[in-house]
Amino acid sequence: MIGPHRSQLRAEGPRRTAMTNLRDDAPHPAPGRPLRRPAILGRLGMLAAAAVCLLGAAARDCRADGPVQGGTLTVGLASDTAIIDPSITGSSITALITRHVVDSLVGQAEDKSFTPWLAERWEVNADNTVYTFHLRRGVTFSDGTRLDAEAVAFNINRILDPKTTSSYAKSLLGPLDTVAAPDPDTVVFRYKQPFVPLLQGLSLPYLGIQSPTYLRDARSTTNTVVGSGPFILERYVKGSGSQLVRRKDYAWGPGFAAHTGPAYLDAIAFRYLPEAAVRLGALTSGQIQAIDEVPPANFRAVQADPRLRVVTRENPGVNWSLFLNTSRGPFADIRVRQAFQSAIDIPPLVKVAFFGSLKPADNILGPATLHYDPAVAHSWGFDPQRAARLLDEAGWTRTDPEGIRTKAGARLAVRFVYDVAFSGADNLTLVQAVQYAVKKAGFDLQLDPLDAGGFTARTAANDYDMASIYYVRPEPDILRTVFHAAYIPPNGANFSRVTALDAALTQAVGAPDAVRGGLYRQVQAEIIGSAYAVPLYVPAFQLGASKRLNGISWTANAKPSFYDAWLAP
Amino acid sequence: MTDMLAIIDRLRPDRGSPAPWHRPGLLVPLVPVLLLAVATAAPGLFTGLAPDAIDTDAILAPPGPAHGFGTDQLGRDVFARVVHGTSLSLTIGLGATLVACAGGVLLGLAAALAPPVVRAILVRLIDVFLAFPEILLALLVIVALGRGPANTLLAVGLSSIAGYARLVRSQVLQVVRSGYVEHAVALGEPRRTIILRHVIPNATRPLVVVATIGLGHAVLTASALSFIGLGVVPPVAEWGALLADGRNYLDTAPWISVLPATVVAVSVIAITILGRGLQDLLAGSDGS
Repeated sequence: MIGPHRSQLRAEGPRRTAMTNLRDDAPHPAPGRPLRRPAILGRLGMLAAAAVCLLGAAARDCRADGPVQGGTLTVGLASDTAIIDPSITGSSITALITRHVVDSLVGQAEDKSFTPWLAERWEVNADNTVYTFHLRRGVTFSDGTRLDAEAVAFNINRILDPKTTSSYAKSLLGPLDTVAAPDPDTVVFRYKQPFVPLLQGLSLPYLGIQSPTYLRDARSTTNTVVGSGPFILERYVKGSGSQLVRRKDYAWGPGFAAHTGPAYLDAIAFRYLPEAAVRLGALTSGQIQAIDEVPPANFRAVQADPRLRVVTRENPGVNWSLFLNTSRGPFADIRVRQAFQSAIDIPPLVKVAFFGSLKPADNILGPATLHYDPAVAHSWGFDPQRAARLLDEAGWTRTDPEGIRTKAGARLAVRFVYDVAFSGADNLTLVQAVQYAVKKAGFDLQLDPLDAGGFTARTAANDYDMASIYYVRPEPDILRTVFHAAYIPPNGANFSRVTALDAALTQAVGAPDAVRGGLYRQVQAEIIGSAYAVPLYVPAFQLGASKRLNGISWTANAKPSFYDAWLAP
Repeated sequence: MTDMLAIIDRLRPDRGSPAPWHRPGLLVPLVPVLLLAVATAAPGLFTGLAPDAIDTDAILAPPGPAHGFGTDQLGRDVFARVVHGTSLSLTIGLGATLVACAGGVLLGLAAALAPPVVRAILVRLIDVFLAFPEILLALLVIVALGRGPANTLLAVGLSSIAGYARLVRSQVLQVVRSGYVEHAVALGEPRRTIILRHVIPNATRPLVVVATIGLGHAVLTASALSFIGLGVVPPVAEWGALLADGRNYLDTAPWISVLPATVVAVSVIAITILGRGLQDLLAGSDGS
């Protein structure tokens, strides 16, 4: 399993040692500072610690043997979430926080293999229509309710119920027919047509199992969640953050974690610190121990700080892309879309906008996604002559005094709509760089800043030429969420308003693995070839952390988990 | 009595010559204001660089011979952006002040001369508007009208009407009781003529001074709106937007925000000092 995945994670630089585990081979901004130390380095660390102990005058805090119990970890987050119940939101922040509160049926290790968690083992029938899970015994929710097959079925049926208003979690279940609990330890998921991505969906916090007792009694689950995880959500306040405390009787754990049983940290506080300078300042001054979204301009400085480190995990899923509206305006013409795509020299622009801390995209999918096709990378790129030729062919032959192409008196103007609160300053820098680049080819790219309501209204009314989004998921089925006709706004995020990929995407959901690979290669080639989207960069989780914080593990969807984490004194 | 008069005489400002060329305190701020005027009319005189030209080889370059104010995160020349932003920022400031003055005169006149019931309502209305911070009113206008330079102008102008209206009203009430208005009434001049010929010109004279000071304030409010992302649309160069752009680079590239901020501060101070000077000048000519 490990071989092919190494290449998919596109390790930068030489491999270190044969003993280096997979996690350290992932693209890493600080080679030589692996987060999860392989055994040999760990031992070296212990020796070093022991040496320091011998040298130091007061040796009372010296414990060379592994994790330290206790302490509160404070994490500064750049974005807020409006809903903490993972079943009724698609928010990444909710996923990050509730990963510590709810357990999943299965876990997915960073090498994309599935591990036991609430389910000890499972069977899938040959045509991927019946999934049978055998649950671990003795698991309880933090409110004392027993976790059995009925509880799991209750959760899944709740998500399927339209009254729950679940969107993303429901989409992860696909065309699920029934979920049954034949006995207290067995859950059976049945499909009428083959559905492959169920295990991956179940491994995400969005399909995490919550206490049925709590769910039955709760009037609203917007601000609360009760699960069987290693931490209990004590308090969630929108606009402020979340407070998690350790569950002392937690006696299980995901198969991909380094330990089982209770977590090491007493508590985790997630604080919402939207201003980049404030978040960074809180980290460098030692007020908090970790932040997400390390500001690109300060990336190198944080790396160089002897007390801090930056750990980057490239997001699998759909890269940060400009989605061109194929249903109206200039971009309805494939030649204009291809010209737009060819007019941008992406790598230098991404380097400028993110100070080299993120990689330019070469495909609609990130390299860490299953069935990512590296061949697509060579099929497109910066080609100003091609852009000019295609625009000529499409009839945009004249140019006005500002250098913008015109056709029958109309200027080649395209409007990029975006939600100001959701688009970071760095993305805006990148779009301005793109704006300047495509102007040379004769495009007048106009920025159209909106609030959340305005963005939803404009995209639903099909009143835009371009929008942007990215999705984090290691499973290529995410392409269905972004390019299937069923998700054309207002029903979803198919901002390109593409309908031509429906057949291939639907077929790929249930096909055997070999066939799926071929189908997804074909879909990726068509998205780039027909210029439905212009992928710009591979988003990543950029965690800036104090070196006191040890034992961070990463889930397959590029999110840190602090279950194994501990704070050195 | 004479002692008292002497004291009052001494306290009165501008006992010297009212001519501006004899007053360095007025000449000093005049220099930056003239520079601003030139930058507004012909930005090309100051810089040959385009404000939105991206140079990926000069990202965050510190101030130097090639780029006087350094470059920003896209390699755009900060000085060119400040110079080209001048016209927009000053136009918004000037336009907003005019809107505020025009609205203030109308509202102030009505609040002073309308029938008692309307008058009472208008005065309370002005009080209510004065109770709100201007920036909050401006935000409301932006939310209702949408973004863009024209809407920013309107938002800043509309939000500061109340202050001007209050001033005009108190002036009108004073003027109405003055001798020449009483004489005009006694001579039987029509009400319209009295208002247009005597009340408005005399009541709005102090407005000139207040508006000059208000101009600096309007530029600041407009910049504040852009700073919080509700003013102009990127990549348009505008002073507040420049400051907002630079705030994430304060520790790595302080020139992106500090140098434009200096320009904004100097401009607003210069305009305000000029306004105060004008006030003294007019007070002096009143006395002579």
